[in-house]
Amino acid sequence: MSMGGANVDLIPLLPEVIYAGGFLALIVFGLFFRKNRGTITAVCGSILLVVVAVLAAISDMSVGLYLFGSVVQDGATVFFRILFSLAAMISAGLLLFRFSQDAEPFLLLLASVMGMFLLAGAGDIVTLFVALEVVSIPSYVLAGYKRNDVRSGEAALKYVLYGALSSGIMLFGFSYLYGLTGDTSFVGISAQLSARTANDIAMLASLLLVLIGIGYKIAMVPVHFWCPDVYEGSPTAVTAFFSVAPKAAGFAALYRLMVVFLPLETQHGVSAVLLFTIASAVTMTFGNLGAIWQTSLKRLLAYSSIAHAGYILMGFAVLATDPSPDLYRDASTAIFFYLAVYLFMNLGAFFVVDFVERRRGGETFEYFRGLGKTDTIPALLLAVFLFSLTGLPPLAGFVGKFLLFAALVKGKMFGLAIIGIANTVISLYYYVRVIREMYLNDPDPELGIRIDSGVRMTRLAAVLALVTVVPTLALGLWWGPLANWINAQF
Amino acid sequence: MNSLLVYLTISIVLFVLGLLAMMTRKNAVSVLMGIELILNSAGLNFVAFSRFSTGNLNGQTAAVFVIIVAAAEAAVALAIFLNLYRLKATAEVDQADELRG
Repeated sequence: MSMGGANVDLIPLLPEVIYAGGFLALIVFGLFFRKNRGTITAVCGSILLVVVAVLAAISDMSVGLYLFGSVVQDGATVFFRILFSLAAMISAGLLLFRFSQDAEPFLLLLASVMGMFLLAGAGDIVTLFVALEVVSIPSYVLAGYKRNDVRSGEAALKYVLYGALSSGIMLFGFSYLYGLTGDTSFVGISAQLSARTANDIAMLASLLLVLIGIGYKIAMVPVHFWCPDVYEGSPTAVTAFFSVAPKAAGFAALYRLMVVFLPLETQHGVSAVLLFTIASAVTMTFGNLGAIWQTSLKRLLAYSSIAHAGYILMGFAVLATDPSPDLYRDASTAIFFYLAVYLFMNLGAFFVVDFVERRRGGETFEYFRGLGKTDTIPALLLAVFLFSLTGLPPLAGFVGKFLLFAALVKGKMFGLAIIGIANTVISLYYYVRVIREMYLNDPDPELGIRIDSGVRMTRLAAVLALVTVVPTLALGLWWGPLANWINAQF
Repeated sequence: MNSLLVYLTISIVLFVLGLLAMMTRKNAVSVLMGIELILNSAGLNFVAFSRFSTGNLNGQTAAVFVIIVAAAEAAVALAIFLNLYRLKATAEVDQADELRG
């Protein structure tokens, strides 16, 4: 909105414009079918997402600010467009197992992804706020999509109330930032804040309010409390989507906002580094300790996703030091690589949880007992994904963690690195507990688990398994191409 | 400047009232009204800063978007409340206690 970058070219938004048009056409198109509306919507939606990803990949990277500074076009925009397209396609595949007749869950998912695309290039307060809400509002509906399940309804209730509250708090912070600086673009706000010499409490307070609002979206402690409940109550395929895509969108927003947090350095002695170091350490420790006591796989993965948000925040703590261009590039690469790896391994883990839930009727630990003997392939897949989430070599999760720790060591933040390694050790305990249940314990005969033999590794299931497990294995051995590609984006 | 302070005071009072409603009210609709107060307090801030302090129209634009988003959010929230009411015959938020850990 500021006249700083007075470029009104719509070209950088071309993928979004095409996507929005295609999405609207898809709503009408779906009405012409009686059967398999879900399948048709998912296939057409995937084509649309591929188009956006390809357009993003081949765009000639005219880096800069567009539409009066409200849209940023750079390497991160390209990366996030591709990441969100992938996450949405895999999640749509998971949704197909349960909702192949309804078009609505797929349309809601696609609408949410529209917001994510906008968010990837958000350059000012208004774009960021509207994009975040476009991500969130369809998610609230998706959480409650099992209309006759009280737990699903309750998940939606908690999600919408806390979500709206956190957006309100963030917006209140933004309004003060606008008042203090007279600008709505992040670059402008940052410059104005740096120019302020007085130690003023208003700036600290408004930045904290903004951080709380963003922290909610990425399930950062202390605003993580909604996460286990919402993840447990939502349909499993929707939970898989929540744990990856809106979370990555939150990180995209935080990545754009980092520039606004940097001027804190000179104020109060509460520097941005301290803020992000504490947030990261507390978030990962709390997530890992919380996961130990869980008996439901969905809740366990919810706490694990909180812990992983903590790991990714380590990268942001490095960015908060206002590092040299070299270190900035390394830390950003580490964050983005981790987000990409986390997408595959977490969606994969949820794919197996969903499979077991459909085949055996539940997702608490009892239903996983003896899975290794009855369902060899799903058990093996889950073991791979959980080891990767722990960060054991030679899996992708290890490389992701390694890049993050390398960035920390390069930035001389040894304390946080040690806390991170200690947390990795804690996480090994609860991930291995699941694997022990699958391979060493026999199913409880009193529980009377009925295996629904109609649920098998169908062609769709095999494709989803391959799409998630191959990158999890391959990126552990040949991470170079992806890491170099991400590195070249900055 | 004096009138700016008046608006800022009103908006902070609205914000605190919204937070209090969120914390003390049991009916989901009342909680939603609290959230609307918070969103509107931010909107009021944007307009007041735009009129009295910053001298540009960015704040007014932001306020328009806030109003639109608040309406969309309220529509979705009410639909979710209605669905839960159909299942549990109550709209009290503390009756929603199936999920905990």
